[in-house]
Amino acid sequence: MRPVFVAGVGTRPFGRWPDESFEDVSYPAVSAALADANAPFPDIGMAFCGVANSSLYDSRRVVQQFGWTGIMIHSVAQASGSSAAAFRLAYWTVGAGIVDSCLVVGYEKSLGGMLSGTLQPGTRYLDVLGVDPIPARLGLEMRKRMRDYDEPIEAYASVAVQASYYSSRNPNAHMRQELTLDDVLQSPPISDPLTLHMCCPVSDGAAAAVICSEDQVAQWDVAVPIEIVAAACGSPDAGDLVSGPGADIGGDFKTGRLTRRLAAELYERAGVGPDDIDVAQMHDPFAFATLVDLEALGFCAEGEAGRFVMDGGIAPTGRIPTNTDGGLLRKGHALGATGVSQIAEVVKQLRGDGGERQVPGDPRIGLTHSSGAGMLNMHLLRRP
Amino acid sequence: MPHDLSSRGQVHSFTRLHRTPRDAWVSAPYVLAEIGLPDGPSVYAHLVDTAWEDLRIGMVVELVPFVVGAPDGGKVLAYAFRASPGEAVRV
Repeated sequence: MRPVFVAGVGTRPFGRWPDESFEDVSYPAVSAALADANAPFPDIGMAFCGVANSSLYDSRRVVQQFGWTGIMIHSVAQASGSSAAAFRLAYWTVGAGIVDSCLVVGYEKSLGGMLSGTLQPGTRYLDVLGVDPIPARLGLEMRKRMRDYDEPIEAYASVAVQASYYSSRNPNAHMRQELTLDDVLQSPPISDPLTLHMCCPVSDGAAAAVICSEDQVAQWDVAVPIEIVAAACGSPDAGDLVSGPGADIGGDFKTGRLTRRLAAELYERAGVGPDDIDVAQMHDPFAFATLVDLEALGFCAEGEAGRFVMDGGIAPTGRIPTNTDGGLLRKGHALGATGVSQIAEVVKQLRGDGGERQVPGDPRIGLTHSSGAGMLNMHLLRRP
Repeated sequence: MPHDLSSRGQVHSFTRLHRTPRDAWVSAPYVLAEIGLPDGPSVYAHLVDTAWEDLRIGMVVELVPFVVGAPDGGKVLAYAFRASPGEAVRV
């Protein structure tokens, strides 16, 4: 693979935009990414869109509103990881020398709340009996983890409080109110001990990135290109099948086993370890996930993540500033848009463009971790 | 191939759900548990006839019939678990 760089990123604020079309939602993100990369749209060699719920022609419209230049337009569906998967395919495509640049667009108009939903239609008896809704899985796992590791409920609330600190400083965030521990603990119960503010909102939104080869970086005169050093991706293997009786998404969300396996691949490929990473974005639809992922990615020892977060480990000055845009919990979760939105945040942080939420210490290496339908896409980015 | 499972098990975890899931024929709030069976597998099930304050991880439970009303007025026979006064089970 030849070197590949992120030349530009753009985000359309996350929120609820019921009156906007897919083109409306994505236009500001794509425009911003093209402008950021200093890239005229006709230079773009191929497009990869990531969206969880759309119709056949939507990704075409989202891209072709910028011009009918005849390029191939892909549409990748991988639930919450759709645009992280699209980004990886674009990275491979430029890295393989097939085209010199790609536009990656994640966009979504979300259909409804995950709090009342199940993962997989068709498992009817589970739906009818109401025994496997998503928040119940989290409530059950939280209680086990709290007992196994003697972890207080404040650990989970601290994840949400930290996310709200970041999101209150992010104009693109869906939930901008800064929360206290009490706000989180006193928010409406969802599935005890899980409360509302330990869950992400479902959002509409879009994010885009322009990636390219070294030659194209020079041609566009990109000010601060960020290199994509490595990617790792995969689905659960037989050893990951420890989920409940519902959809076989695998047990990564509770054990971090798949994250651990792919992190090892990612670190080896990039020639770095967790100690080298300055900023990270992790898939955190529930506060529980951040704790599992911090351990699985090697940022703290197993069973220690709760205390790690309560001691400020994911704060701007902590060991690993995490979900610095507010994460899914507070920036919002616009399914297909979330993967590239994570990339955009890392790129901004590595360029020093993080605004009020910029992490100190001149961060140089960043990680993204995205999960969708039980599969993972992870990327490692570096400012050369 | 059908396989008979034990009708008694041990609570691995429990939660109380506060919002009725889409498509469910039961109404929140209700208590759910992950129950480990001595045969190996664990199941998610309603936990009934047991006070919330008395629930503990590790408590022994037994299978009971659980009737769910269907939207068309009919009834469906399902299963639930409740606290069991009997001896401990090995899980």
